[in-house]
Amino acid sequence: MLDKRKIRLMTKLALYEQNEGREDMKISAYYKKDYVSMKMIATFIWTTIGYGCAMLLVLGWGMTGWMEKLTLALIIMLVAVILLGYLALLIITFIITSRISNRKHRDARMRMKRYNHGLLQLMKMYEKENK
Amino acid sequence: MDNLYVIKGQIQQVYAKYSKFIDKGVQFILALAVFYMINHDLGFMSLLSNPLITVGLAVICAFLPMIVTVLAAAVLILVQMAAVSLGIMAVTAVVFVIMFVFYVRFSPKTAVVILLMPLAFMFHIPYVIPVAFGLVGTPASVVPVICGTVVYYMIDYVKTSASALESGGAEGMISQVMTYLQQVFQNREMIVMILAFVIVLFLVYQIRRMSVSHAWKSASAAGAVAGIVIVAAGSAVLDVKVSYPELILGNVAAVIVGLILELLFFAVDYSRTESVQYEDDEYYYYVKAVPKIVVAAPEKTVKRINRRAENQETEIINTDEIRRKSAESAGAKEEGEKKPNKTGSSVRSRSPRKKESRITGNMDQLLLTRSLQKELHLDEEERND
Repeated sequence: MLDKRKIRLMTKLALYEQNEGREDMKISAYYKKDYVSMKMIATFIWTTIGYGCAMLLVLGWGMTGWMEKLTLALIIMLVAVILLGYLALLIITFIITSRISNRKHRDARMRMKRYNHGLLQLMKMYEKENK
Repeated sequence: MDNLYVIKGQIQQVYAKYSKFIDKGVQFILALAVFYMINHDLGFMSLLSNPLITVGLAVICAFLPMIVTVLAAAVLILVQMAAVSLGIMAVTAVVFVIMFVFYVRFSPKTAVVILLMPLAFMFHIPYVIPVAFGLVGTPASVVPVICGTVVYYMIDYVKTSASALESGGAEGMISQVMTYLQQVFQNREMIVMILAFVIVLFLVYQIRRMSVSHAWKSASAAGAVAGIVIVAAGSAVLDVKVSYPELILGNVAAVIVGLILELLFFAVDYSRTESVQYEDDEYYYYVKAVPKIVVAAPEKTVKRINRRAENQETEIINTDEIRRKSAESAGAKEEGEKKPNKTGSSVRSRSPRKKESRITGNMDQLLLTRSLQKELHLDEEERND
């Protein structure tokens, strides 16, 4: 005889495994601190690349115009502005990454807890059947 | 109006039933439209511009996640641009990397907006996107809207200046790159458009979140008006050539799309709004509750009551017999009711057509009754009684 409760639970678990479960399992394999740190490192690398690209575009764009009129003082100021911009961008992206990854880890852990609870329930059902 | 809600219910039912196919179909159409647009505007590499390749690529993308379509579109743009100038391709690649690093990496699911924006430009309705994403999205949607606008103007510049860029050769690559950067990022039309889209999106988002009646309709209308005013003012101040009929029609389309989105995602009945006020130890609460409109799509069940069953379940009735009997009974009844006339033309004086129709009516009634009795097993019940 089919057990409707068991089928419902199994369907729910299978759906979770197929969709969010994959990503959640990867995320919850890390401690929160490790996960956030890993994301921070990735953000640092990507932000550096992105900022480098943006600066390339700005330099390319200004090569014929204002860059020809640059003096030494202006160059120093420009470098300082570029570095400050880089630092500001890093701080902003770090804040965003930290928030997003903290929330992601917390949600993934919560969903995994629910999933594990479901698995336990299923196990109990099987034990009951075998008795 | 009720009909619209019924249609909405029916659409929801159909979508629930065939969501897998509909999703794939929409993804395929979107990919096809995007690849067609790229190949149409930047068709410098004849091999990739082949319609068969376009369709094939769209079919492949339909079976993969949406982000793959975005990446495939980016690669297609780069390859087509490489056919014009390697320098321009490099600059475009750098712009794409920046978009990826600062937006797509954080929100890959909304990256599709970057594709929708050039597509909307192609159909001359770019104003639809900020209104639509102001209604159903978040203020963060402004980033892909800006990115999409930049992508469109990059494509547009290469499309219009392809011949000049191709003739430049390898020596002129640096000057090509610089001109490209200046033409794209100092494009006043693009600046006006980006400014208008950003303001419209924020305005629509703010108005639709207000606790006023008909917030979504007001938001769409305000967005359209703001779009027209900003673009018109921007074109006058920055001396940008703008097609006014296109501007007005595009914003009308934006309002229409806004109304459709309201029907689909925010169907509420403002006439039954209720305001409640209560308090607890710490706060006073002023609650406004607007009921949702829920109209279930009627389920059509067709019951055939006079089916000549193929498997002979329904009794075949001898219609001639019934007609004869009903004529006899009608004749007898009338004879009994009417006094005999001296001339002997009591019943026959009536119009024969009228009499015939009555008989037919009786026959139909009889047929219907018999069929219904058979269908509902009333005859068996009578027999059992």
